[in-house]
Parts: sequence; C-alpha cells; structure tokens
Amino acid sequence: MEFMKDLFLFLRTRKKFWMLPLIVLLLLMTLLVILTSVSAIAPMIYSVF
Amino acid sequence: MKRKLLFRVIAIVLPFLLLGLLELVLRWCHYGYDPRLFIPYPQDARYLVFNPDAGKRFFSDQLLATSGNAEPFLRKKEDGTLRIFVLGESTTIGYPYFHNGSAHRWLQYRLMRTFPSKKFEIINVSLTATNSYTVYGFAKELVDYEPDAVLIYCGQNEYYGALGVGSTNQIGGNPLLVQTVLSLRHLRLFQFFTRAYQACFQRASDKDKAGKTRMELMVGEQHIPYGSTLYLRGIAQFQRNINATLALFSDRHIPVFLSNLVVNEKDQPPLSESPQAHQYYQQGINAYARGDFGAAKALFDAASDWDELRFRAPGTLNTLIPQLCSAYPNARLVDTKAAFEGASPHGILGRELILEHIHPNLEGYAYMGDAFYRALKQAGIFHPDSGQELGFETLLRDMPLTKVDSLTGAYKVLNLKSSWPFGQGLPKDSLKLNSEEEELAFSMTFRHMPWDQAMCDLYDYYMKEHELTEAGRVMEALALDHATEAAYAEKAANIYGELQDNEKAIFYFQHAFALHPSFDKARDLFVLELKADQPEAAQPFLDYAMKNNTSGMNLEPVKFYTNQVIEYKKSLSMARGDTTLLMQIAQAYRKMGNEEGAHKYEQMAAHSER
Repeated sequence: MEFMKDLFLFLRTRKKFWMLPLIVLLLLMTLLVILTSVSAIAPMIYSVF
Repeated sequence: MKRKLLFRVIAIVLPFLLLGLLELVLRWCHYGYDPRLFIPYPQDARYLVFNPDAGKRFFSDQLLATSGNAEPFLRKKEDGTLRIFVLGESTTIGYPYFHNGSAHRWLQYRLMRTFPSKKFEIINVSLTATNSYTVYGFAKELVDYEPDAVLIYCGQNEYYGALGVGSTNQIGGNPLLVQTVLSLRHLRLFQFFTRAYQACFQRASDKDKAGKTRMELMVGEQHIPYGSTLYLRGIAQFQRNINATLALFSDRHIPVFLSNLVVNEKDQPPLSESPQAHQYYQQGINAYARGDFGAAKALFDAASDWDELRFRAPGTLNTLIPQLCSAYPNARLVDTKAAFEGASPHGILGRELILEHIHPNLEGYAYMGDAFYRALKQAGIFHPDSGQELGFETLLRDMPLTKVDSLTGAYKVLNLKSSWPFGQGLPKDSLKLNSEEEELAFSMTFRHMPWDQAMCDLYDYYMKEHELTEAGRVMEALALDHATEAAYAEKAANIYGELQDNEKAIFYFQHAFALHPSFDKARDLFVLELKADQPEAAQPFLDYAMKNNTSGMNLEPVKFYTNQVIEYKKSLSMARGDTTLLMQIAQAYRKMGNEEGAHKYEQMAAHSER
C-alpha cells in the first residue's frame, strides 16, 4: 500500500516521465494518420457502380 | 535510490500499458475492422472465406475500400485437393463482368471439366483499385494456407492504386513508412485515430470540394510525365513489392505464376492531353493505315508510355516481369501478352480483346485463363490425358456465361466511358431495353441488383419460356459461382438429364455428390453411367446406393448384372466383335432395365454378323 502511495506521488510530481512518451507516441500516430490521409481515388471509377 | 529507479521505469512503461489496455478494450468492444485475410465462412464453419474487410488497411478512407470475391475453401485442406490462390487487381477479378467472366473462373471451369473427379479450390483474393502493395500484403498471409500454386496479374494500378506513388504523395515513395502504416492499421487504436482525424478534419475539407467530382479534383495533381521522378518511383515500387512477393514464395517453395500485362494499344487514344503522346498515337494510326504494322505497334506503345494519366501500366513493367521471374526457380512467367498478340490482328492489341484501356472482354479473359492454364500444365501442376482435356474451342463454346453477363459488362463500360477521363460514352437514359436480358443487365449495372438475383430471375424466365438449354447454362453459371453448394450443381444435372445431355448430367451429379452425397444422387449417377455404358464408373455409386438405400428398392439384381457386364466386356476386349459376348452384354443390360445399353450392343452384334 505504501509502495502504491509513493508511486502515485511520484507520478503526480514527475509528470514528464510518463507524459512525454505518451505524447510522443500520440504525435507519431497522428503524423502517420495525416501523412496517409490522401487516399487512392482514381481507380475507384471501377467500383463506384 | 533503487526505488526511485523503479518508479522511473514504471512511469516510462505506464503509457505503453495504458495504450495496450485501450487496444484491448477496443477489441473487446469489437471496435473497428478485422484486417485478417481470411475469416470463418458464416454459412459453414468448416470453411474459410476472403474477409470483406481485408482490403481496408490499404485505404486511408474506409468508405473507398473495396471488397472482393467470397469463394469459400476448406479450413483443413483435403488430400488430393489442388489449391490455387489468385492475387491482383481489377483485371484479375474480372472487371467489368466479375463472377464467371474473370480469367480464374475460365481456368476453374476448364480444370473441373478436364478432371471431373479431382477437387479444385481456386480462391481469388484480388481487389479493384489496389496494386503491388496489396499483392505483397496478402501474399504474406496466404503462404500459411497451403497453396499448391499462386497466380499473379498486377501492375496496371501502380500509380493511382491504394498507397501508390500517385495516390498518397506524402508517403507513397517511402516503402518503410508504408509498411509501418500497414502494420499499425492492424491496431484498433490506430484505426480509432484515423477515424477521429477524418471526422474532425476531412469533413471540413469535403465542403471545399462541393460541386466538383472526385476526378476533377485530382486531375491536376495526377499527371505523371514519362521519365519523371514519380514515374520512376512507380516502377521501383512495383519491382520492390513483386520481388519481395516472389522471394516470400520462394522461401516457402510455393510455385508462383506471374503474368505480363496487356493494354489497349490501337483503340485507346492517350487519356491525358500530352502533345507528345497524341503525336505518337496519330503517327501509329497512320503507320497502321499504310500497313506498316511493326512501326505502328512501336508508336502505339510509345503513345501509351507518354500518356501522363497513368491508368495503363508502363511498358517497362513488361520488361521487368520476366527478369523478376528468372531470379527465382519457383517463379514462372505467364505470357498473356503473347496470347493476346497471337489473337489480335497484326499482333497489335485493340478492341478485339480489350474493352477500354486495360480490361479484357470475355474472349480476352478466356485467352488470359488459357495462358495461365498452359503455364500451370507446363510446370507440372496437373497432368491431363490428351483425350480428357477440355480444348480451348470447346471451352469457348461451353463456358457458362449468359447474355446478362455480357450485357452487364457492356453497360458498365459504357457508363465508365461517359465519365472522366474518357468522356465519350452514352448516357444510360439512351439505352433501349427490349428484352428480359437487357432489363436484368441494366438493373445489375445501374440499380445494384445482385448477380445471384439476376441469375435466378433469368433462370425463372427461361423456364417459363421453355428455353431449357439457356436455363441449364444459367444453372451452370450459378454452380460455378457457388462451387461449394451442391444444390445448384444438382439442378444443373437434372436440366441436362432432361436435355438428354448425359455427359453434362453425369458431370454435375458427380460434382453435387462429391459435395453432398445422398442416395438419390448416387441412384441418378449409376443409372446415367450404365446408360452411357460405363459399368465400372457406375460401381462406386451403386455400392453407395446399396449401403445407404433409403428407398427400399432391390438393387441386388442391378449389382449382379453390372458385374456380369464388366466381366463380359473384359472378355470382349480380347475377342473383339464376338457376337455371343455382344448379345450377352445386351441381355444383361436388358435384364437390369437399361434399354439404351441393350440396344447399343444388339446393334453392334448385328453389325458384326454382317
């Protein structure tokens, strides 16, 4: 219990340790989503009807 | 100090755990799509089927993703089954006919007729609007499903197909990024981010595009000049992905058959306004008119290569394909191009076999199927006896394609040509519908009528009109499209029985019996085989009928006389024309009630006496 309490306090005071990887991961994912957001359009003429 | 270090490690690992937990929750809630290549077949758990969502990970916008054929195959491959997978794009799936129009169905029908007692599973996992990225992506998964051979026809969509260099400019030229994104799209979390992004930003940008067609929006960006960086990147993309695909099959010792590509040379003017392309094309027309066909072909090919709208594969790919094949001992070139050239006037491809810029007509698909058939045969994948083989001419005559299939293709191409970049077709309102076939084809093309429903309606119509031959062809078409369902094959067998076409009746009863054995089918089969004077072939069905006799019929005499006929025929093979033996066979057939068989041998005896 003591351990969990200390860990919680650590996480609350040292936010950068867990927030930084989280933000980096989310940013990377967002970047990849944006980069792939232009879709194939042209050959869709074969499947639109 | 130790505790502080531990806390730091936990703090760094925590976000990964949180994201992992979120991923599990999303999966538990069935959020997003399942990207696996094959999923259990909903109608029968013994089978697997091509996942309709498998293509989604190749498309950024899920609404644009295409789905393919549903051709179930056994989860546990049976001994003696020949399992072939087919990979590729719209041509490979048989656009604009789909179903039985595609080359793989021509191949399937020919194999089924050539080897009636062998089991074939030909599973087409091609998708329209995709390219070599999808071929490689699917290849990585299908190697685990015990293929005996893999057929590939790919290269026409290398620029504008999903993830192609002309479609996703930001990452299209970077294979590492593309592969990373494809892997990430297996994650529901990544799917969630993609949807969230599209919901927030893409709707807003869609408003800016209002009033313009998709084609108009992209045309300005999609011109890819001959020899440009983007042009070269498209070729490199094809080479890299196909090379990786062939290497993968080579590592697993799976025979792979890669076809070269066909494009309309003579009857497709350049789709872009490139002056150089139009100049070459006009010079090609002039050379053709004066009978200089060698120069005409070269000029038409140059016109296609210089056409900046790259809906046709660059000619370079046809040089690369044989080189790629020769690098792997298990890879073989399928020379579809030579087959088309051989069947085209002066060896120049045009409207005789190709509908518009790249897609073959039904005859063209027959030639493509024939090219794959010959390559498979040459590689020893199967060994037909010369008398047993269904010849190409017979195939063209017998292939179960209907007028509705043919008309649907014509209407779809007409519709395609009425829009960008062709702009030369007729509006659908101008079509005059004077027959049931035209009505059904129109409904399939413009009113989204499913093919199965159109075929069932067509069958009912022919039955009502007492056009039994046409009805039989429709039922054959359904049996070919639903190769694992016995009901259609049995219905086709009954129609051909009524038409006195015993060969086809036996073929379809055998097919139905293999899928779903029953006393009735076994009885029909041994009766037909005995009528056709094939007592040895009748034996297994007679034995089955006796073991599973649900009718109370006494089949012992039939069995007795069948054995007698077999013995007499053995003796006859050593004493040809022996009148006594011929009459004994006739009597045995008469005693079992087979008048046709008896009559045949009585006539032979009479002829022998003379």
